[in-house]
Amino acid sequence: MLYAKNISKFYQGAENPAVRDVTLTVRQGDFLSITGRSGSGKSTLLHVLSSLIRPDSGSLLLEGKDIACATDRERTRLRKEKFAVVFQQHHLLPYLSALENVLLPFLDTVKPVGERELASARRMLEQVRLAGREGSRPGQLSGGEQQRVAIARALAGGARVLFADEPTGNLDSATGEAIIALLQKLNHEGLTVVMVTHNPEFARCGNRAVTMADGRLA
Amino acid sequence: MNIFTIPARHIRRKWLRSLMLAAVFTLGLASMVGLYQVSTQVADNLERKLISYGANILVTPKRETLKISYGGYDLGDVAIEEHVIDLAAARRAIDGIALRGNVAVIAPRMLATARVDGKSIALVGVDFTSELELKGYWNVDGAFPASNERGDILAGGVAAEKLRLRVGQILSVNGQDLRISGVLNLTGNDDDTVLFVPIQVAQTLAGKPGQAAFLEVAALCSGCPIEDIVNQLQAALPDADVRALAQVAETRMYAVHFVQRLAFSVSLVILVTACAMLVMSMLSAVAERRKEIGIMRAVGFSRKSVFMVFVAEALSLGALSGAAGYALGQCLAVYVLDQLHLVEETRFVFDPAALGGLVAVAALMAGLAAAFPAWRATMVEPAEALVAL
Repeated sequence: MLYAKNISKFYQGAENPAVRDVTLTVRQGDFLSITGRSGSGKSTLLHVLSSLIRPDSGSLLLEGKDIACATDRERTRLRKEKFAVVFQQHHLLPYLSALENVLLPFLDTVKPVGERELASARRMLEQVRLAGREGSRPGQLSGGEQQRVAIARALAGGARVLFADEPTGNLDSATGEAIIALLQKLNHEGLTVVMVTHNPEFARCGNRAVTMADGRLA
Repeated sequence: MNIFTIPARHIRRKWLRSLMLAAVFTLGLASMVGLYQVSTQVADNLERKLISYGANILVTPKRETLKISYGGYDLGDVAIEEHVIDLAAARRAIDGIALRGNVAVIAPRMLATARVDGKSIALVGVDFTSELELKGYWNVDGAFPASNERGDILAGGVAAEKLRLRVGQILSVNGQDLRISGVLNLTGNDDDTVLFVPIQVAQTLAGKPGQAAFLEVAALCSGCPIEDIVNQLQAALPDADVRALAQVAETRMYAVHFVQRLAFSVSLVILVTACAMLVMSMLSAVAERRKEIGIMRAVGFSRKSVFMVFVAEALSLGALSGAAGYALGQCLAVYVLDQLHLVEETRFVFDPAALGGLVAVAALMAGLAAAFPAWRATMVEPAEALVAL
């Protein structure tokens, strides 16, 4: 499904590349965990795979098409239609309700959100067990609930691959486990999940795991 | 829910900040509206006061002349027919023009000559009421003629000296007894050498009852060019020559326009300052909201959509400020005019078209002011914005 070949990424001012010559395949239905120490380049690799940033070299094939050199517009469309990203800090807009946050991917035009999108957003909130909390603002939700809203938002647009960057990093262990269980459930329903985590226990929850060190796959 | 939900919710959440920003813009716009109203009413009032320094349009009857030359000798032009102006018909015609509201004073004149104590003197028949409106600079020993009917005379300074006229003296003019009600202080112009009499007296002496030799018209030109008024008068009075006394009009309008230009310049400075504050505020908002921009970009917002979010917020604040600025500006103008006694009568002017125009212009200006910060917002890379926080 997604094939990264010899991917490298340099950051300006850094002595070494954050990601160096990484080749990796993500197959449809995978739950791929990427682990490694802090600064090992796992988050950068996730951002490259999710087209949040461009690699400096290498190719990134999505269903046979190289998206490494895609234009900003093409990458935006990918993030809207095929990929979804969940971050460690759930990154919800604080002035929107839970439902509005889930609908955020649809709020990018003057065209009002349709009934279908609204129903999909409500369904996603139900799926992450937040039915009845549609009107709550992020500040009124716990950390775990906020992360579940972020996951619902990621999935409301019908993404086929979910990229999760340390989704349990800011949560207590019980809530973290609940989030992992939710990701597993979604994966069993057909969603491809690529997750960065520094927690080896959570890394084992996926069907595949890779480890990064010094920007390379170990 | 659509893209406008985001700026609407943001304004609601950051209501104090939004209110402060709108207040700054509102104050700028209110100052503009207030200054405009004050300057318009002051200029209007000033122009009405300037009328007392003379007319700016002259209406004279058309003259038909014949050029006479014979055998190579040029004998010059000879007037073969001299028209006069039918006063009642002329007044009716002037009342019918579209810009009648701009015609402030119509002062008819009839010229005649008479012999006083064996000396020839020029009499100028006037309507004293309109004449005094045009000659605010006249100073008189004695009194101005109280009415046109009583047959009072106002003597020019030089004429009074030569004829040894005194206030209260009864003068026999071609057999009619007229009383000298006042003697003009020297003006330095033609007014010094003539006697002003009621127009009916001059009409009788000239044998032209109901006629006028010419009309002096004082027109208000702040609302429209004097040429428009002249053209309309000319169309209404085809048997007369109507011409603007260009220098008088220009001098008068210079003072009026000076007031308006001053107000416009100050308004412009205020508006530019308000816009600059809006730009600064939006720039700082972009810096503060990098994370939000990153979130929007990460979930699939295009650069255009992010741009729209910021511009829509500025447009909303601009439109709101436009409406509030209009209302506040009107109140400000009434208060200032009232407190400073700049005009005789202050009035609250509500013009729905002006309100709509100001709302549209304010929204547009706010949108333009936000364009650069909004463009900066679109340059934010999602990963950089989100990872940095």
